Amino acid sequence: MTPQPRKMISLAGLLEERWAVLALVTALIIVAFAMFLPGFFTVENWVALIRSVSVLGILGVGAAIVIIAGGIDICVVAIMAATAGWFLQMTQDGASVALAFSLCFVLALAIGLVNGVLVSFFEMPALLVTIGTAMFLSGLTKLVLVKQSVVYVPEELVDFRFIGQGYMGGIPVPVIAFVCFAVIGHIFLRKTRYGHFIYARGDNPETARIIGLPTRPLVVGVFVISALVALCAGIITASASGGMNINISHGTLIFDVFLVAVIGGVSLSGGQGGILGVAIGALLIGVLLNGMTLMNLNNIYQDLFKATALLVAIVWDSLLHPVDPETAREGDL
Amino acid sequence: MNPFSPQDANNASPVLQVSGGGKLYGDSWAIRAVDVSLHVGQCLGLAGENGAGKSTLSKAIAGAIRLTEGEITYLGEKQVFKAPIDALRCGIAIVYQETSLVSSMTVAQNVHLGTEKLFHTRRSSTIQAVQLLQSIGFHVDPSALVSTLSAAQKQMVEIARALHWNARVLIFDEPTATLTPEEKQHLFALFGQLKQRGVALVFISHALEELLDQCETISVLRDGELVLCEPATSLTREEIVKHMVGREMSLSGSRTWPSHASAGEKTVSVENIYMGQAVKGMSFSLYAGQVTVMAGLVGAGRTEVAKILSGSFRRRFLHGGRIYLDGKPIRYRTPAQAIRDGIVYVTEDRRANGFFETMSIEENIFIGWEAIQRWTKFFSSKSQSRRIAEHWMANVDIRAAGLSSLVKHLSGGNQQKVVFARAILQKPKVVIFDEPTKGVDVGAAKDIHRVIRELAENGVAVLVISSSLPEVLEVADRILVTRLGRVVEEMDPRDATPERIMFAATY
Repeated sequence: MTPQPRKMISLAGLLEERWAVLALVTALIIVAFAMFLPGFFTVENWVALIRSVSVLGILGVGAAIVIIAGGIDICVVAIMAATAGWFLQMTQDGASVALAFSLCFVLALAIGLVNGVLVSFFEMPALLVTIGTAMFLSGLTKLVLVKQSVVYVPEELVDFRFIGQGYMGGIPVPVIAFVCFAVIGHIFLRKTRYGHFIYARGDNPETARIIGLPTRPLVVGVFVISALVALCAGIITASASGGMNINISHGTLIFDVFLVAVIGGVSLSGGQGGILGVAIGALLIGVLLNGMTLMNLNNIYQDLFKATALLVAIVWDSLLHPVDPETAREGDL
Repeated sequence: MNPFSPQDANNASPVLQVSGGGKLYGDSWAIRAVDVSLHVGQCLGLAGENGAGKSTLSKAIAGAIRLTEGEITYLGEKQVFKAPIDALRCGIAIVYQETSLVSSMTVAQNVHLGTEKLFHTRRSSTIQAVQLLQSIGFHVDPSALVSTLSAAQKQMVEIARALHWNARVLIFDEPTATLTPEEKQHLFALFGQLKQRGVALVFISHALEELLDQCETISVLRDGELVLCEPATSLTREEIVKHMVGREMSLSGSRTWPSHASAGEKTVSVENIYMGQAVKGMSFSLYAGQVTVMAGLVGAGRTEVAKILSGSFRRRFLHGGRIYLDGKPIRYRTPAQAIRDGIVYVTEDRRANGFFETMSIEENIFIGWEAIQRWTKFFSSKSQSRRIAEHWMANVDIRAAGLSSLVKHLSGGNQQKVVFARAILQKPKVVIFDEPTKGVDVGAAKDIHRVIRELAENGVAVLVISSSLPEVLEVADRILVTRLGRVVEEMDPRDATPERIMFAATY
């Protein structure tokens, strides 16, 4: 056999790749901010910037895996609030860290399993299932798990603060955690059998089933992964801010998570995108928000900027992958 | 002659005329150089094998697709319909076999669908619907939900809707396939009424007697070309069948018979399978080392039984029949279980569920190998994936720029070869190919037939489902003819002729 021609690396080819376009845009914005914004291109500011998006990035990795598999998980922020809040409440009430963490782990696992089983075995739409479990979970949290809507890290837990506030080799621990999640997520999706299965399931569930992939267990697994990622993100948030406000499950954080994933090239129709894009997407959002903070812009403008970025990303995506009306209409001969 | 003398004068100028009509799908013509004309108060019958272009032609007339070449003249003017609604406004309506009614709405609402005024009351639309329905002698409660109606009643509502649009041309795409004999009589009575109103009808059916009874003119399509257009009175069933299948017989005659065409072990035994309306008492066996071909018309339950065998569909739980693989009874809940036991199904609809369109050739082939690994196998090796993909690309002769080309950019034949490669590398004992050369060019079809024969020679039990008679005669060691959900006849391909198969398959 003749040797296969290697994939050509050309500018035009790179422009087809979402992450490359995104990296270019991000780089341009960074250069612009560095030139015109005093105080932007400093080490302290960059540490703060990356740290501010690390939790968002971690949640983005989990969301990307679910979306690539063809689902969506609205309930991650609720899991984050519930598990972290319950963890702090239990430690305040005198439970050991190990016991509290194990119980939170079981809770996250259970929610992931319920989501996955309802979506895969009972064939319900993922959007509605996870909205339902999210509302259930935030209700359960207020009713049973925590006593007040803001739970603080108990004084005795000195070591716990290290997770969110410590440094390793001069780098904040949340940033290291984000990098770890991104690398593991990337290897899982691109180098393992199950990662390939996830792409196949998201691309075409029917084909995936016919060629013998275990599509149902796969979907359950994906929702469990998402729930466990949310648990980790919750613990890091609680440690970094010294407490957990369980009302974040009513906030707009979940939209930011999808924003990061979609800007990063993860198509909501499934089967497309990767962790690299999510990481760059998180960076872009971080740079934009940081720059706007330095410019003393109001929060309202931040929302407008995020919304614009999202809409541009979606329009760009549909320009790159247009739906052909002829093929869509003419099914058979 | 036309029995309706008042319209005789109009015969010279047809209501609708297609001249030189051609439609290109990808790089193959679905229909080409077709000329038909419809006359006031007359019924044109369209006959032809599956894929002969009957549906393409009728969709083109109804504006659902646009012709690549040729033109449509309607009421003396050249027309280009951009969408079905344009044709409908002009008075051309189509009644599909699978009805296109909104089942959660009432009969009256469906009749008025798309023509409602901005403000309208349910009462006024019901009254109008009553008048319309009575004028065509169709007695159904206009306030009944469509979901409660029978298949024939739904068809009547579709017809009523078409008449509500003042249809002057009405196309029926296999309307009788799902009807009972009484319902058919009612439908044919309605045909007579419509003709008297001066509507031009197009009637597509596999039931040739119905065509002969109902139509003034019968046109036969074969491979997209018009091969016959004669008054019905001068035709017989035999002549239509001959024109439907009448290819050069040399294609099937070129076959040389291997000496070992005798059957091996009985691998699969399917006994009396029932599922819904599609499969009614299907029984057959498959033998190792033999290519069994299932011939028949679309809707005879062939794909359904294949999907039951391969775990995609489930048969009726009670009294659903039995399936044995190597003597052991089987009942699968997922295709994964069937593939583990060595039963692999290759789909008839590549685009819908044959390959992954975001993935390259290499990924599409390799995922079949990944699917059958043990669950403990976690990491995939890039070099192994490349090796397997290269091996199969050469083995089934996939022609593409490289392994990293996207499958969706390949030609139909090469796409099919990718799907084949992925199925065969799963090392099946039993493999089912559903319409293996649908939308595949002649050269690639030859390669595909060679791969099928090689599989059988290696001791695999092969089931091919095919609606193309030359293909049936080309690859079969044994022919099963299906009709209405069951196997009705078994033939030795040495005695089988296209006419015999067509006779058994039509009803």
